[in-house]
Amino acid sequence: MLRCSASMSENGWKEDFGRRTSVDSLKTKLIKICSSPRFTVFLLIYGTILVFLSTIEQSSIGIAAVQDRYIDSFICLYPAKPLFGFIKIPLFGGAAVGLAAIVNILASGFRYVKTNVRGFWFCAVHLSIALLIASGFIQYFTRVQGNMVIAQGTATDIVNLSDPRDTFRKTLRLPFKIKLEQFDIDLWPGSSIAKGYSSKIAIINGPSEQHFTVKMNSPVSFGGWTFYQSSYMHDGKTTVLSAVRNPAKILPWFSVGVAFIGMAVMFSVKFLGGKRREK
Amino acid sequence: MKKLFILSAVAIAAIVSVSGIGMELAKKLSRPYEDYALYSELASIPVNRAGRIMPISSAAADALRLVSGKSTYKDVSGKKQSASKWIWLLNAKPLEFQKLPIFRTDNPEIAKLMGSSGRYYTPEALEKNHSALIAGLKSADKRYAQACESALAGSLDYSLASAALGFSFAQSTPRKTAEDWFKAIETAAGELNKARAENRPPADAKLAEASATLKILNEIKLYEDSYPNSLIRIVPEADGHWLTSAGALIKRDITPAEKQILMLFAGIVSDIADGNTSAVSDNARMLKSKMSEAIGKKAVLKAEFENFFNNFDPFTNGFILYAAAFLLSVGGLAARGETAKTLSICSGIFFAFALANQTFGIFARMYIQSRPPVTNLYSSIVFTGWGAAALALITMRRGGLLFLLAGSITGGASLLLALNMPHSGDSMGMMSAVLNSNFWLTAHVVTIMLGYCGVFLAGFLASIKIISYSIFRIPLNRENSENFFKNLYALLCFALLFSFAGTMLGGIWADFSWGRFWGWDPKENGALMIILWVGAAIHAKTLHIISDRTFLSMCACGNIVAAWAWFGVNMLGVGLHSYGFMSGGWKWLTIFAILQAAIAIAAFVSPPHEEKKSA
Repeated sequence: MLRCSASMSENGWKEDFGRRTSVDSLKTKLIKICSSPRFTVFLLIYGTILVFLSTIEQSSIGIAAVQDRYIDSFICLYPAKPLFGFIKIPLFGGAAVGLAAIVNILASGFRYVKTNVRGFWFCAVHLSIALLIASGFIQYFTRVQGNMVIAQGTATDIVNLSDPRDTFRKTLRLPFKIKLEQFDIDLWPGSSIAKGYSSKIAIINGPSEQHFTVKMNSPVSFGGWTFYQSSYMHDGKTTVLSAVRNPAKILPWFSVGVAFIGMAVMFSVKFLGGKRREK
Repeated sequence: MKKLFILSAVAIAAIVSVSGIGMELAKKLSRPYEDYALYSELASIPVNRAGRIMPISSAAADALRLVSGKSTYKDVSGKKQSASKWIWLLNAKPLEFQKLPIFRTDNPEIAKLMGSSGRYYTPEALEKNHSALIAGLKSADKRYAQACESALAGSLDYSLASAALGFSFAQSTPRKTAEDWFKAIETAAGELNKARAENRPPADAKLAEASATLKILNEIKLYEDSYPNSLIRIVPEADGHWLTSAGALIKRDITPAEKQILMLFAGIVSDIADGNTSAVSDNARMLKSKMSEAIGKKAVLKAEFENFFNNFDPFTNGFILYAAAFLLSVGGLAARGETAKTLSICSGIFFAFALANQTFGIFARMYIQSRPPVTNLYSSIVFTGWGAAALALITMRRGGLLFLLAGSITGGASLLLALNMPHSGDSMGMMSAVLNSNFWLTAHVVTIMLGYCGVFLAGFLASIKIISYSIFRIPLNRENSENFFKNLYALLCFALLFSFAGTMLGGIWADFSWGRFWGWDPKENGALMIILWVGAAIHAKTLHIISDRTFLSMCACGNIVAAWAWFGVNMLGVGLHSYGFMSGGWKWLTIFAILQAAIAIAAFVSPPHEEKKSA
């Protein structure tokens, strides 16, 4: 199969498949459709339009509802506002686009990639993009987010789940308790502009008690959960922390890192290396 | 002849660059020295506004911009005057400003209410119609209510500014007011001590003056405390906080150093009011030396530098120079032979000076703020225009005049936009808590802005190409077409690399700080749209499924996508990136999008008349 993918360079695909169609198996045909360059470009343009339409909808129904309806779905109905409010246009949702993109990337890799240095970087970039999209799917199922409202001097283990999908489960209990010792707002001198917020907390885990400070841009991790400074209430006598458990946290970090390095290498070889060869 | 043109281009560009400083110098030489001190020496005294130490010229310009929409004003004789002159004179002789039309409104109904024929109205008219404005807040006409609100906000800023440098009671000068007050509390304290020693109740008559003034000062303090970010604070305390003039007067245990600074300010204002300008200069120098004892020499020098920056006005210079470069390069494209060559060299010279001005401006702001170059919408505009212009200069060798043209459009347009940004503009405010991190700001914002630079430069290049080919049918034989497309493609790759890196770094920052990598926030969506669109153009070109025309058209559409991501999503008013919100602007965005769309369509209008696809 790899042999039929001799070249990813200009027009290579035309020659390859033009000749072989008659003897190709169904599997190859499928790969051919899935890996079509037009399909790639269609997905990218369609993605742009879908994101644009959802952004417009955000101003009327809010960010969470848009995500639920248009992004985390395979099929959605888009209202053709403002002219024809009663018409709803059926669209493929974000999940469908993501899945199609993964298929497209894998099939294209299967079809075009050469086993050389360039092919390696090509794979690295595109597979990590596929991984980035896949991590979206994975986090959809594994990530838990909520917030904790803690008054000064009290301890709690209740997390209020903020995910609209969790209709049957509104709260969750942590295996340890968090106590707020003090909440601070730091202002720039001579203004009411906040420089930072911080909560001094103690995590009570059975008999042991550990002390941490949760700050803006500086969260605290404990027992698989991470706590972020989110908000405050009652003039700073109550803090609001957001609590997140995300076992697949590292996936997007890793994939964007690889994709960036791969792109940087590919582009610099193409534009900077090429010049040297010309000379 | 050619040399003469080039030399005169260099000379003119250099003159434009130093025009701001030159004008200051001319003022210094042409006017009597005391007068100069009044205009300029007082401008660089450090004060604190919205948490940042800045020269009076900046603080006054911020306040004046909120009142009149501009950072200069026209006096009774119609002469343009600086913001620092405005604030000193306003404090010294408030009554002289009563009839000066300085408040701006864009609402014709308010202008009519104020009895004004244009956009500007006087403090006197405002005072008379104050209650009508308050009633207008509840108007069913939402636009009118909003205009009333901004008129009232302007009046508030005006009143805060008018007593910022020296608090005084009517019919008195700040110096007299302060002296009377300190004498009154001394008398009161003496009487209280004496009464305690003699074990008798204190005589009310001796306390009356102090307690009456205290009551008023307390009320003013209460009023001021409601608007902490609009106040100009003039007295530095030992712990890094600053006091307003009224705040310093009622401070219980005011230190001698604080009192001295307060009295120097009051003295200068009083001297200006009394026409005793010869004393102003000495007092200003004394005030600066007291300030450097209080807040350190470095902070005073920084304020001095910022004042120099304000006078230099590199962004205005840059805009003029970009405009000249633009016109010359258009001329260069239209002309032929030797003339074209001379014009393009001259255009290059203006372009280089413009870029140098903009570069100086950006670095100066970085030094003043101690921040990376992009901190708000204003600086993002300036930085992106600069980056695109610099990119054009870097890639120009192979592309020629078109790159110069595109660079002068991006650079010039960015400065024009920045100079005309309403209100919020160039105040270099402090960063709110979530942004208070230089590392992440640099990594995320600056990177993403570099991506925008690539998109816009490619977009404008493609637009110019389309316009010159399809509409004006200018055969651009001088431009090597193959090289042009290669450069355009390279620019898109640059744009993709940096907008991808910037967006994903934003994701990592969000994951690190809030615990979610991606939240489908409008700003994030915008960034994603750029990546997808540029990715589509690159894939389509690499995989040879579109013609050169379609590629040009996609590049031109890139401008719409990027403008949407940059400004459009901010106007929706939802999401986390609220620090960048702006009101209005829909009109301009729509006009821009329609123009770009028309250009993108124009790419297909005429049949290819010289190049057939070489594939």
